[in-house]
Parts: sequence; C-alpha cells; structure tokens
Amino acid sequence: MVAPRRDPIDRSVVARAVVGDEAAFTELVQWYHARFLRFARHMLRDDAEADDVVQEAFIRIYRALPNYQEQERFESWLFRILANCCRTALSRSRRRSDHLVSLGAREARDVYQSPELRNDAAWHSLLRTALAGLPHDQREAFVLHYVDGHSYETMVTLTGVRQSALKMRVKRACDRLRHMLGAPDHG
Amino acid sequence: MRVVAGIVAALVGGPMALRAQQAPPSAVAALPPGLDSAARAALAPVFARAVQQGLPVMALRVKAAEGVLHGVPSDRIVGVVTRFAERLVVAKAALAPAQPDEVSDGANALGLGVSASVLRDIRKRRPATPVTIPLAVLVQLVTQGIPASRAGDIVLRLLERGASTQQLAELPKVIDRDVASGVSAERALDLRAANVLATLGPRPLPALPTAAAAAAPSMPVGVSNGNHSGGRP
Amino acid sequence: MGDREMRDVPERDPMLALRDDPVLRTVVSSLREMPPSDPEAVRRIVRAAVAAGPQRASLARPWHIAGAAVAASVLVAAGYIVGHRPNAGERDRVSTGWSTVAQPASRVAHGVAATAFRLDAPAARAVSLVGDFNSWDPAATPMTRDADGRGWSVAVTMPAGRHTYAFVVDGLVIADPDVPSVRDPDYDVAVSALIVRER
Repeated sequence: MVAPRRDPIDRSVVARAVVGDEAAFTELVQWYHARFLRFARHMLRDDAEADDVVQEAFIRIYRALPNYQEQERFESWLFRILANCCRTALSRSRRRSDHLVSLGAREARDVYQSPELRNDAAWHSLLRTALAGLPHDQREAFVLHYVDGHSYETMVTLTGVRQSALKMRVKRACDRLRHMLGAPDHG
Repeated sequence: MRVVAGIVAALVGGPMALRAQQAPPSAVAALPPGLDSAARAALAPVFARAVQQGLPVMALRVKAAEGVLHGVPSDRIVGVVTRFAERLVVAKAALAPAQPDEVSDGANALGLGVSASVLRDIRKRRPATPVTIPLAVLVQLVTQGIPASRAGDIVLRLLERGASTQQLAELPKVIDRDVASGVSAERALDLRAANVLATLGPRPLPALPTAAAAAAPSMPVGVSNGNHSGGRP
Repeated sequence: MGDREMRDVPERDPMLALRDDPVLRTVVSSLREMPPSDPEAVRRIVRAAVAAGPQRASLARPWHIAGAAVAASVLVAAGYIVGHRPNAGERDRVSTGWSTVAQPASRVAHGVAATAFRLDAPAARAVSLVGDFNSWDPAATPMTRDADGRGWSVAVTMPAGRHTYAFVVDGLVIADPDVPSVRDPDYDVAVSALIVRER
C-alpha cells in the first residue's frame, strides 16, 4: 500500500521560514512541491493549470507565513491555501471544465472495460477524466482524504465544513467514481 | 517609345527596376514598412505574383514584417519571403480547396520539412472541414523537435481515427510539459498519441465485467470466448 | 534534529477502508503517485515568491538594444522581467501564475474568445505585443499596465490556428518567458507560439 505522503516538515524549518529565511522557504517548497502538484493536478483541468496554481499557492504562503500562528497544524494551513487557490482557479474556468466532463464519462467506461487498453497512459487519462466528473466539493474531499491521507479532523479545520458533511462527500465521490469506472455498486 | 525606355531601364537599372514599375498598387501597398528600397524593389514582383495567383499576400507581408522587426538584413528577408512565396504555391495546391490561413500554415509546414503529400493526405481526411488546427499542431510538433515525417504520420493517424481538434490541440501542450520533465519530445509524442488513440474508435465494447471480474481485474469474464476483440490501440 | 510536528495521520490509512473495493484501491494507488521532483520549478517558485514579496522589486537598469531579439532568460536574470515557468505552446488564459488582480481568463467578442497575454515586467516603461496577427507591428497592440504595477496585459481576438508572437519591452524584442520558445526556421530567431482553438 502506497503511503499517502512523507512526514510533515521539521518545525524548525517552519520557524525560520516564518521569520523570512529564504533558504528555509526554499526547503519548504522542496518538501511540499510534489504533494502540492499532485493535489492540484487532481483538482484541475490540466497540468499546466496545476503548475500555475501551485506557484500561486506558494507565493501566497510566502506572503502569509508571518501570520501563521501555530494555532493549527502547519499542513492544514498549507493545504487550505492550496485548496482555496484551486477553488479560485476552477471558478475562473468552470464553463470549459463542464464541457470536458460531458465528454469524459462516456469514454471512461469504454477504456476501463477493455483490459488491453488499461496501459499507464490511458489509465491516467481515464482517472483524470473520472475525477473531473466529480463535483468540486466531492473531488476535493476525496483527494484530501484518500490521496493525501488527511484525517477528517484535519479536513474540518482545512475546509471549515463539518465532519458528517465531509464524510458524505467522500462517500458520494467513491460511488460516482465506481459508477464511472463501470464497477458494480457497493452496499 | 515606352517599350524602348523600358528596355533601356532594364539594361541600366537591372531587371528589378523594370518589374517594380509593373507591380500593381495593391501588391506594393502590402509591402510592410521598414524595408529598404532594394528590398522593396525585389519583393514587389513577388507580392504581385502572389496577388495574381490568389495567394495570401498578407502572409507574405507578415513574413517580411517579422524580418524587419528582428533587424534581419534585407537581402535575407528577400530570400526568406521569396522562398515562402514558392511554398505558398505548393501548399495551396496540396490543400485545395484551402483558406488563406491553411495555405500559410501549409507553407510553414513545408518549410519545416513536411512533404506536400502529407498536406494532401490531411486534406483528404478532412475534405469538408478546416484543417487549420491539424496543420497548426503539425507545425508546432516539428518546432518542438519531432522529425517532420513522424509528426506527419501521427497527425494523419489521429485524423484517421477521428481525433477531435481539442485532442489534437492538447498534444503540443502536454509534450511541452513532458519535455520540461526530461522526456524526449519524440518519446513524449509516442506516449501521448498512444493515449489519445486508445480512447478513439472504432472499437467494439466488451461485455460488462461481473463482480468476480472486478475482484480480479486482469481476468475479464466478459471475453469468455478467448477472443480479445478490443484490438490494440 | 528539531522536534517534528505531531504526525497528522489518521488512526489508520484510509486505504484500509477500501479493503473490499479493488476498483477504488487501484484508483487511489494510482492517484497517490507523486509527480517527479522538479528542482527547476522549485527555484522558479522561490524566485517568484521572493520577487513578489512585501519588499519593493528592485528596478534593474533597462536594456536598450533596439530591434535585437534577446533571450528572455537574460532579462529574467537581470530582474527586468519576471519569468515564471515554461508553459505549453497553447495559451488561452492569463499566462503568469500570480496576480493580485482578478484577471478574466478570456473575454468574448463576437462569439469568439479573446486570448489574454500578460507579461510581468515591473521595470518596463512601455510594452507591446507583436505577432503574425498584427504584422509584427510594435505600435499596433500596446499593452496596459496592471493595477498591481507589475504586469502588462492585453487581450486579442485572433482566428483559430497557430500564431507566433513576442513582446516588445522598451524597444527590445523578447520571446514570451512563460512558454518554451521555438526557433523560427526562416530567420533563426526565438519566437513564442500558441495554438488558438476553434470555439
């Protein structure tokens, strides 16, 4: 089983970054860049947009670091900023992603049900399409919980949504993904 | 008397001077600013010929203007534009019936080593719709480092299999990203094109998997006659 | 070794809940794959963040080499323009990743969406867009400075297809720092290209 992520970054690095240490900020970006990219790619239309948003998030983080008060877990704080950047980006391009979704769901079933087509490239394209077929809230909850491995407690702080609602979003995301991928329904 | 004067001018001023006098005003007007007089004299007949042949004169203007902007020596501009005009002729024939921008992109493709037969084949696969995007993608792929023949093959194959303009237009974009992460452009094209081809028809649907199949995804129950009817991408 | 923040992991990996769900297990495993690390991207991000930080950006001495195409990377190194990251050859949205001003991704005119261009050039006095759509005329499409004072923007309606373009920054022609530049085979200069889709 692939672990969702590595440990949170060392607290001393955070402390140095908060007071403006550029080397510490560089370490922070190095530590989280791939995870941010993974999250953004799953949330957005395409990799180029994900790159944009990850950069935007890190810039916001850099500017907001002096305000990080350690009242919440650092990763929760980080990912809230990233999730908000993704949300903003999606609202800018909503019309076009809807179009993509309507194309994707039909194709998804075709590819998955043909085992000889389930090579890496097709499979990843299929996953991208299937994720895009989820409503934003469900996709975000699913990716936060299952892909990046956040607990529901963290997700409550991160999203500001209560736990029961988050669990429902995750469950609905799972059901929809299974349906789109042609799997039989779960109980 | 006029003819004699013309011949004298030709002997004295060279063939260019004669032809510049004969270029129609519209061709001369299409010449961009910033060219020196020698370049104007050399290009006016080229433009005039393009007008006569129904070629996109604006494309010639744009090509010349680009050279002017970049401070390219004027004799080089003349050479580039003249050769471009020759390619416009070939592209127009290969892509007939062609819109001006198709002719222009076709000429760019030819300049990058794409053959006229590839252009003809592109038109054959899209006889009634614009081939602007396939040409644009083809040119872009070659500028990204894909050998012209390979790029032509792939674009034709995708057109054959019914790829949408959206799918085509995505290709150079994702290849740029792949190249940025260290993959060669050709390998990236292979992978990405295979990806697109995998999602295109014609392909019969295999039967829905049962619960047993879902538990062991490598053993699809639906293909019980042992015949993998899906085919290779 | 400093003390680590208490691990934020649930009591168990959420994947355990997918024990009986092979489809979703496969999905989650695939989605958990990390993209490869990209040290160049990290460097760019840090540079952009620091440049965008609370301190005023230092104004580099302008370069006056009229008409000559200069690699954008040189200007980026001089701090004159802020390059962000190589993007794809297609652009149908604002190119740079950071702006405090909400930028529309595209504007619609006559049913055709415009293509937005933006260049981060805080030290520039005048920026214009040139390309095959305006006959490379530096006077045809001036760009306007954004409210944040750093960026220059313009939106242009252009027909579907491939277009080459560049920016003219205080008389200096540069390729777009945000996209991988291509070599124009005719003139052997660096230009930027984009593909506008039919809408």
